Amino acid sequence: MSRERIIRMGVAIVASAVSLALSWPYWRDFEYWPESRAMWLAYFALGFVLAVYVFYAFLGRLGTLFLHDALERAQRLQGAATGDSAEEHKP
Amino acid sequence: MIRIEYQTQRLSLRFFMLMLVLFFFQAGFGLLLTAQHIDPSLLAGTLNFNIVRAEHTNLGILWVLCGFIGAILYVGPLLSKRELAAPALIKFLFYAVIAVVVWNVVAQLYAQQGLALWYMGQPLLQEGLEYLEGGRIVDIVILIGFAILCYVVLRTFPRVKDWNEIHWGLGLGVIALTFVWIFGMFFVARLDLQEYFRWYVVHYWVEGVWEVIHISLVGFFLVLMFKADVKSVGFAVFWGIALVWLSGLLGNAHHYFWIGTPEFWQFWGSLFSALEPLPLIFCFWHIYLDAHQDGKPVANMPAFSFLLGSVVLEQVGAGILGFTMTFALTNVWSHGTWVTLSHAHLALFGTFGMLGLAAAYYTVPQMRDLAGFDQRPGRLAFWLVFTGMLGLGFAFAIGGTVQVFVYRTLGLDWFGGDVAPAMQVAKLLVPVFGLVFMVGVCLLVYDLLTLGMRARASDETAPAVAPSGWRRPLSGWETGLWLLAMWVFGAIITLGLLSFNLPTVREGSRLFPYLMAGIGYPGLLLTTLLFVARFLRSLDARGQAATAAPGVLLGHALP
Repeated sequence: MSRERIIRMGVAIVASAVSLALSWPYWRDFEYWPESRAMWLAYFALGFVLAVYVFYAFLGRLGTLFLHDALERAQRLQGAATGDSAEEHKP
Repeated sequence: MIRIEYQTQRLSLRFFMLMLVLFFFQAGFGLLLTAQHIDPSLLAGTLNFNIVRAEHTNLGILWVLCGFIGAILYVGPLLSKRELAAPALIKFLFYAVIAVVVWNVVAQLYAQQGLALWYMGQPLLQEGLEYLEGGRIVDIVILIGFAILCYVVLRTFPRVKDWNEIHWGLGLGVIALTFVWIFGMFFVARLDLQEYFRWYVVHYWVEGVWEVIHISLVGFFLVLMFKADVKSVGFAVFWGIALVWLSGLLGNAHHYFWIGTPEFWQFWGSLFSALEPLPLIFCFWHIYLDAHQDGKPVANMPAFSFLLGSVVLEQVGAGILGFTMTFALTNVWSHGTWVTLSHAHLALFGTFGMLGLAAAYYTVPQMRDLAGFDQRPGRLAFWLVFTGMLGLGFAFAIGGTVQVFVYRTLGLDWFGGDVAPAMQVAKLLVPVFGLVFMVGVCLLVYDLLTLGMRARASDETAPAVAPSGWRRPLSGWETGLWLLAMWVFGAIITLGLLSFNLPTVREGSRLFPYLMAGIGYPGLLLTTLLFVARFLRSLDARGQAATAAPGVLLGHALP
């Protein structure tokens, strides 16, 4: 795993842990359905894993958004240097 | 000058005009509400507070929908490279929308009499569900209207294999708009279950469907305004939508905390709605990057100002203020108070209303075949409504914090004797900022309605100066710092709301929540105001450098 991915995963885990801590149910008796404590633990574990995935995907795609921008800038500069109109991006 | 390429695009004009009229009346009802807050006896028995409030919220939904329909009808042919399908149906849709508006407005007067006109277990006239007030007859008309929009969009679009991400976003958006509406079309006798499905419609519309349409339209307007690369925009649209659904489908449960649903929704709703700001941050960076891609002047600044306002208020109102109150631990205090109003006004008007206004400013000059137009009224109107709405958000938030403390913490539940007097300062601030907002509404409605019908005032040409200070180019790092500052203030607000759980606060000490709210809300809203000013000033500097050179064309940046 590259350093970038490790950092991204670390940030996703920390952010998910904070979100999980803030998401504690207001009524903390866990008596409402499901009555099983094991089910609550399963909810917390599943919720944490899903949250890590969403944060991780977000950070990765945000990085790609900036990469696209850098690539387009380079293409524009190259186009300007060669006199090409590389700006036509008809929808 | 950018001309209309397809004649059926002109059908969008009538929806934008209707949007402006409804916006004006909605804001007017809002002002009346502020007056009734100060003097509750005002129009009592004639036009009760709850009726005026229902008109205000209903018209808010209806004019936003008009903006969406107008924008979709404008971009549809451009995305499909052909005329809109079934223009006669679109004309019918327009009259159907008018009928729905009239029905909704009039039906509220029956609500005041307690008349629902029950027939076969269904309330035909009105049903008294917040945001979904119209009765079953109008529900069916609305369903037919959405089905027409779906048909027109899907028939106009090319074959599915030729769709890009924007086609998918809008296509799925209009289908979901229709499908989700169905859940609000039946009567459930059990109030908690009825509330469940009411939120199903309201929330999935706003955070599951409207967001998708919003992201797709913002992306396409960036392509039109900045000639942004369609593939890059498509990537941003795809992941924006993916993140909206990954977070928002379960995040919807933040509406289920206190309506009698099982306790596990408190966990799922809190956790996944905490992730809901992520697509909004994504969209925020998307507009920053595309607006700074080529460094060329923005030809239509009112349109871009409203587009930027839409994305920034989405970030602040829906993202940050939504985040602060989305956890069960904070929402238990804030729900049903003015704290929620602060979030709702900034999020609904900011995100979706401003997008409709941006679309109107972009398209109306083209549909009236204007080579150019005086942009000053539009820019002034933007600042008036933007500042007015931020001020309203501030007044609601501060009033809400006081309300939470007095009403929920101290348990003083006599609204006339305890709660309302404690909120008096905030109640006076609301009409002050409401008036600023209303002046802006009047100006922009007048400007857009009469664009091209007035003698054109000459645009002031500011002297070309080297961009410096607030006019210098806005870097990504600086933008990141502004965004960070907004979130720091958001964290302070969250801590303030969490502090209502502290034993000292529950025993009567208001120091911590008031201090946090006193720092957090003004800090967040002022940072937002300054950031948008900085963003627009930096883009202005580009424009002024180019005014010396001729050829600034309407609608697009210089080629």
